[in-house]
Amino acid sequence: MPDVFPRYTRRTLPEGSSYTANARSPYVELGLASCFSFLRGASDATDLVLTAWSQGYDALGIADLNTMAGVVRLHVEARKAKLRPVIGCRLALTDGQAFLAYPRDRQAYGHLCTLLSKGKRHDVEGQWQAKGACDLTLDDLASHAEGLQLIALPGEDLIVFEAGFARLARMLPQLDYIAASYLYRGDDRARINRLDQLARRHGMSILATNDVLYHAPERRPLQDIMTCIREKTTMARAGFLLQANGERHLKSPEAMQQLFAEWPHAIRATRKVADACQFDLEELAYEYPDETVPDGRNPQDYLKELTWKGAAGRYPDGVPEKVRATLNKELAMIEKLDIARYFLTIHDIIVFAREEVSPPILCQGRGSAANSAVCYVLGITAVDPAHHDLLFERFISEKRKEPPDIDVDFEHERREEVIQHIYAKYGRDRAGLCATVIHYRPRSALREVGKVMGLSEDITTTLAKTIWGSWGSEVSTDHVTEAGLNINDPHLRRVIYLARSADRHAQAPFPACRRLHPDAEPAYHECPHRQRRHAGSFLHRMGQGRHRCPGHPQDRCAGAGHADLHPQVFRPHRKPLRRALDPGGCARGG
Amino acid sequence: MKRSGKALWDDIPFVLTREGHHGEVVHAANAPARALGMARDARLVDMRALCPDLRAQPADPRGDHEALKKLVFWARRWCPWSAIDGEDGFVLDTTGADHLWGGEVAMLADMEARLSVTGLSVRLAIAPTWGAAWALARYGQHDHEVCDSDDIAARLAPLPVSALRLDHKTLLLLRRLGLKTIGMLAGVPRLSLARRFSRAELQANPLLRLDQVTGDMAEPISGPKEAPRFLAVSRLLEPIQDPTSYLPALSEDVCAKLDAQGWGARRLCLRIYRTDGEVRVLNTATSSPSRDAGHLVRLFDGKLERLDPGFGFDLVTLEASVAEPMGVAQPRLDEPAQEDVHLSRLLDRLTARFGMGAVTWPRARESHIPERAQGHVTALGNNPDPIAQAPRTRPLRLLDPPEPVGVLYAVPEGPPAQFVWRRQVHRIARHQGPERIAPEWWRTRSGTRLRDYYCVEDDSGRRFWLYREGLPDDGRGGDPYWYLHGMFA
Repeated sequence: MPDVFPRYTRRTLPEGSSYTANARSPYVELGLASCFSFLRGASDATDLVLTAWSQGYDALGIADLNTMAGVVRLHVEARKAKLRPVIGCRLALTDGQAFLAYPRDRQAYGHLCTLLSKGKRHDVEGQWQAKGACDLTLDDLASHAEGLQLIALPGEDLIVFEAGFARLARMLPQLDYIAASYLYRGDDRARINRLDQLARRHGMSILATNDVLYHAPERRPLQDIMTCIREKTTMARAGFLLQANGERHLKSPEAMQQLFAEWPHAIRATRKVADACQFDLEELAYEYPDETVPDGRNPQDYLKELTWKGAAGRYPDGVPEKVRATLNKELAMIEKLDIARYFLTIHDIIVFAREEVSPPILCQGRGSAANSAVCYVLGITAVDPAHHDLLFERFISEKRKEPPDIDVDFEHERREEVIQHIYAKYGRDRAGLCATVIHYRPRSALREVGKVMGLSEDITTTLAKTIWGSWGSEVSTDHVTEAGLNINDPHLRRVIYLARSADRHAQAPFPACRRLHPDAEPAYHECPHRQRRHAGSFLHRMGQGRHRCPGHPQDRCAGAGHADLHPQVFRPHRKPLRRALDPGGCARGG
Repeated sequence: MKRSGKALWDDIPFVLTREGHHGEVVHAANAPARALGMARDARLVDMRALCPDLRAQPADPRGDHEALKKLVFWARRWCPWSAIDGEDGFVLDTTGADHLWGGEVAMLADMEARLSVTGLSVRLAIAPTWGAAWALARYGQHDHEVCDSDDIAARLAPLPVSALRLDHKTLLLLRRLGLKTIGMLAGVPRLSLARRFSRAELQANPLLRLDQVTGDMAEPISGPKEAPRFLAVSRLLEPIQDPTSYLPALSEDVCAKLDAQGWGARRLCLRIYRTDGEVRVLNTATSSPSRDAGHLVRLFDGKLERLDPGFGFDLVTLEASVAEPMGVAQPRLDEPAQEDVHLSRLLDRLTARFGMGAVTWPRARESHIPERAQGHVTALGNNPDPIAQAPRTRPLRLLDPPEPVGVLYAVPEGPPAQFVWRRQVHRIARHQGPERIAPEWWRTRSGTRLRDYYCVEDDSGRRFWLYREGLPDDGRGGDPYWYLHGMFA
């Protein structure tokens, strides 16, 4: 048994890396799908950004299929490499048409998110939408398209596209471009010329894109495997579902200019679109809900009042001097960072759980929040500053400029009541749950890849068993030989190699499918920001120390524009709490 | 009936498995496995945990069913009526037939002896009703059970209620009600049972099943009808050496029989019985059912010499060993019905002359690699594909193998300007491409290079399909070679 349980570490560019900003490149890739287009894209943000930087891009677009799940990761990595991320989305409608949508500003971004939320919330008839599906119609798009730059994606059959294009142009005034890609199909020149003429007839222009699915041609096998997994078939039977060649990788601006040498306006169009997109994810900011503060009161004052009231309650014999000093210091810091409403929100939930419900729901804060005296007197945590030395800087630090993490544990059986209270109080439109994304771990990667490659279940199980633990390290060749398999078999070696690349994505989590949990095993899953319900009910996770996504512009990104966000995470208890007369005392002991 | 299939292990635990919801489940287990605790419908992984060196093979329910059907027909040696009963048994109506075998007990002994020759172990029971026989065979104490009409009730009373052919839910219900044996069930007043189960169907209705067992409700056996046999026999007065002259008459005879039933022959079997007791057999097949005597005779052309008549033969038979129902088609009003399509006749004759594997249809395969886009299947058993649209332009003729040509082109990826093929120079006037086809990495070696295909037209108007194998800098070889893969028209 290994000494150290294998831990999941996310793959990312190193902090403080010295990347020099590239010069302005004539071409920007706008049709990029990252691995967050589940089972379509085969590269994660780190690879894409590294490749883009080395190829000389200064800006990189992202357009995942019907989701904004990948934008945060790309934003973070691109910022590290001093690239400008251009945020967009690939919209696939129910009638088969597809568009790239790039919002110009914050408003337009909100419209886009609203559109996606609508598609994911309700299906075409208005019924509750199936999990993971997104139904968008042309009418939906037309009504939410203000401020978006739309680029039409032609698809394989140009006759059908041309026939319906006039109607599209009429219904979508924001449609200005038709995407054209040179994918070595054999008739590319004729096809692009045809699209060019169509665009000119309608006063638009073609836009060059390589419809990127992976960062380097070496990723093509993995992308083929993803296709087979998605279509639930094996490689031998996949046939025309797979791409004929491996040209859908990220190409350098020079290569794209050469391919589109006869259509330089297509290259210029990408630059125009990228420059017109002024939206930056950092613009998203929190707006805290107002319901927590009584009318007319200043949040900071109200917090102060609650603090001293709580302190009086906690120390009936008088607040100790040390504690008083700590409280003042913390309140000053809170005022400086302007996060009073955050504490009030959490206090409100605690009050609901303890006082408004009968019998009261057991709840307790944990983690770095225990370092705060304010949290103690508000009743959020149970660590008494009079008896313990608290390190406040661990909890809030001026450098971070964002609200701290407060994890609150609620009684597992009754956390649904708390969730419903939040929904009821703030409205379903303004509250949301964290989504976690399931990733391929070494074992599941091996099983899936083995199944697709035609290995029998016995063999894939034997291979998977050689990996120890859920996040075990890679398949080692001696273990495989010990298990009785022939490591020299080329097919087997290929399978292991591919499983390794799928699994490496798991370390910078490679999303396999979407699943909604209020929380999941915290150490091993990543929570991207994505809309679940409404613009703004972005889910994000206030995780603990090492589980937090470093560098994630958490609150700001996840914040909402129109609708106010309510960041919370609820975690089920692992073991039942013993009932005690004083829940606080029990918690202190447990 | 000959023993079919190979013997499976009897001394080590062995199970057959089938697919269940969450993995494989046990379908059947042999005696040592059952002794270890393998149960039907248990998950294989659990059973493997009990016994790590368990052997498992997938079960073949369809094959089992086919074998059972054959067995049912074979069992008609004892009585005229037999039918399949469930998935692992069959039922015979031996009323009036047992005296031929010397009594019921002797008949059962004969059955068991013959069935064990084929490798099957069997439990038998005779009873006045189907239900009672079913119950006694599966839940009785001995391997042979004989039951008379007056002691049905007594013999069946101690058997569990699952001997009544009820479905799972009803059995559960009866167990919950505390009715564990048939005797207990029979003891319940009839009216109560009728009140409870009056509307249930047969499998869920213990009352009806009880009536079937005691004989109050009739349950006749209707067995499948055997396929008709089409056999023509010709006995000869003196031994002869050459059957050719008798073939037409035999063929007409068989076709007349086929016509009478409305069937057509798919396989024919000619047997000659030699004077020294040996039999020689000759088989031939058709692609579609036929009862045209002349056509069937022509299928034997050239094969009759292979028969070795020895000192002569005096009995020759022609049988349509496989026949299919065949309707009569009349495409025109003024002509007699055309029964054969010329193409299928041609296929039959070609296949008969050259063998099955020599005549093939092309069939489209989904593959981007051009030479793999078509496979071949034998013509006799399969239908041709309807003409499908290729996803890209493809030449009419593909050369196999592609021929190397010398090409003048702009490195690294420029189109060809001129090429030399079979010592002729072709200047290229127009080209279309490139179409890049990457190798199928899961099938080929890792050093295989991609291909860039160009459709080119030379200055005399001929169109060719060229490809360049690889890129100069792909690291898998030196400078790429060019090949001609096909021609358009």
